[in-house]
Amino acid sequence: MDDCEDDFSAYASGRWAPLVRSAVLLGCSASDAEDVAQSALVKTWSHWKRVRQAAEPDAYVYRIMVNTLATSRRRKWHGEQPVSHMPEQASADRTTEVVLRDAIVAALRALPTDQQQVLVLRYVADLTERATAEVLGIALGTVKSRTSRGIAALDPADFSNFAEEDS
Amino acid sequence: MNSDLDPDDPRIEILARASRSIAVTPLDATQVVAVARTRRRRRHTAIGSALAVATLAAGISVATAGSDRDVKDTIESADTTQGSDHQSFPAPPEGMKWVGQNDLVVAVPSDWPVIDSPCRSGAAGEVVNGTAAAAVRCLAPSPTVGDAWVVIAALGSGPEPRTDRVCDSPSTGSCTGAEVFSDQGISIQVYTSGTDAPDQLNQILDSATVLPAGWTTVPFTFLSNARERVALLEQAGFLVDRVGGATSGSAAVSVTPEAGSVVEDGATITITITAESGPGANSDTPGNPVEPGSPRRPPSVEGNEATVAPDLRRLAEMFVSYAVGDSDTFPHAESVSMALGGQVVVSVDDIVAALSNRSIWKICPSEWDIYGASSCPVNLLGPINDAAANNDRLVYSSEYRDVVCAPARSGPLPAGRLVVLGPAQRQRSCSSDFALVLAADEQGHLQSIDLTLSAP
Repeated sequence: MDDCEDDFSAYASGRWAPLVRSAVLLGCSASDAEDVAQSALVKTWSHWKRVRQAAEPDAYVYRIMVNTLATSRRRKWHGEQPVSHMPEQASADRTTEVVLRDAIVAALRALPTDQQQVLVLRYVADLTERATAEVLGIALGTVKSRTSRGIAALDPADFSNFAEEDS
Repeated sequence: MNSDLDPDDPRIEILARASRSIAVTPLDATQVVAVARTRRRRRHTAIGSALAVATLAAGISVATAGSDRDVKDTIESADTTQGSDHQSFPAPPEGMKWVGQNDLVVAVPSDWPVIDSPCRSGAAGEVVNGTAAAAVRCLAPSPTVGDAWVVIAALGSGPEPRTDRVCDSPSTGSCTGAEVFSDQGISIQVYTSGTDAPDQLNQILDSATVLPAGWTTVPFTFLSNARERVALLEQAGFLVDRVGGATSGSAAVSVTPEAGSVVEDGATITITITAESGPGANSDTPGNPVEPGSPRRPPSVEGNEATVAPDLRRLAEMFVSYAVGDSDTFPHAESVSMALGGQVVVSVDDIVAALSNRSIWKICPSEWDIYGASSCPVNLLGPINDAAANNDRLVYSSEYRDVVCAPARSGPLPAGRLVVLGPAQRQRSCSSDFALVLAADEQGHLQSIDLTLSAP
């Protein structure tokens, strides 16, 4: 494995979880989310020498993910190529977390897609406002206003049962 | 709507916590690399085959078929990192123009003037430089229906604006809003009014965009004289093309492209230096260039020494010297209020910082187009400069006297100890009379100035 591959492996490992989680909160099933995340990382590797030098490498990866999701919504998602060792699904029984996740997914789905995307990219993917603007191809000011509208549209009452729990 | 979100908002915390509750199995990055390499080999093979077929059909040799150079990116649209550092920048929406500071711009209607000072002129729509607003307190014109403005300010130059976007009742139809861009170090405040006020407010604030590498904006240079402007622009990496010769302190300056415009890094900025040309002189109007090495002689002054206190006489003389560019300062209080015909227009709070910029003396209430014989803005130093140019004598006294053919004053004389400058008796006419009232404090420091002009 060369330095470039080492570098990419470290990057991909660090971004894998937020990519999958972002895809889930943008409406994917768990398995589709991993396919989308893998697809984004495969394409990122193809351009890794350039991406690693970019000011916002994450913007590149998430832009692929968002574009892939948009495309998959227009046609059925055909999935990523199978790999030799498919990861196993976590099986722990975490009822409260599942309820919380379902509540958030339901709340996000009630929002317009553009607000869903901004909230997920800002607070799940933890992208900066500027990177979020780059991912979505919108102005920085639009990121601010969509974020504001999206948060304002989330009814605190929907999450009151979760608000006082420790994370 | 508040876009300055509290990072401790419980909804944000719950959103982040919900995402962390999603179980994710570890990634085997080598698998990703393996898939990517398999894809690339397949793509190369496919492209090589296609080129080979094309070669056979056309009978043309394609020696490079299948090489990396022939492989086309299939995800060009997702790649914003490709190419040189100098990226293209989108044109503004139709009928709009970009204006901003540092590397952040917003789109505003293309006919809105950009004013390199925090003081609004009162145009129906305008962009002002709010950076010196804390030092130069403007008495803002009362908004009218259809009025709108944008204030661009450097963070730290004053209190940060509230980022609420608020519209009042439909009957008055006005909206205010702001955004703070910490990374770019600026804030944008917007006021709109009229039937489309909410849409216009959101359109302007939502358009805020960071310029890509290779682009920047023409700096605002308020409170800088011509020489300082040139230095500031050159320090910012611009090439400066001077038109009009000397950078005299009393010269008016216009900058092209205008402040806030989007330009390429290192672009050429043209500074046009023009001479003051009377009470109505406007810095944006080209005039006679100032010839190097031709300082203007102050007008001679005659007065009743028995009635004017020595410190006020000294103030008058030093103010005249300042007005014609012979000196850089005069005795003054911390702030100076400026008025036309009794109508207070502006109060300059940090007069020390403002003295080097002669354009601060050009004022007009927002609702006025003309005053006396001059179009707005009216230069408070103009009558002194005219007298100097025409070799006319000035007189000063301790009492205000009516100005020939002047419109009725709309307010009282400024408070304080007065010294009043005007033309000699023989030169007072409906086209030339004026009274420039300097009001000083107990120490003889200027605290207010008020100009009354004749109206032919």
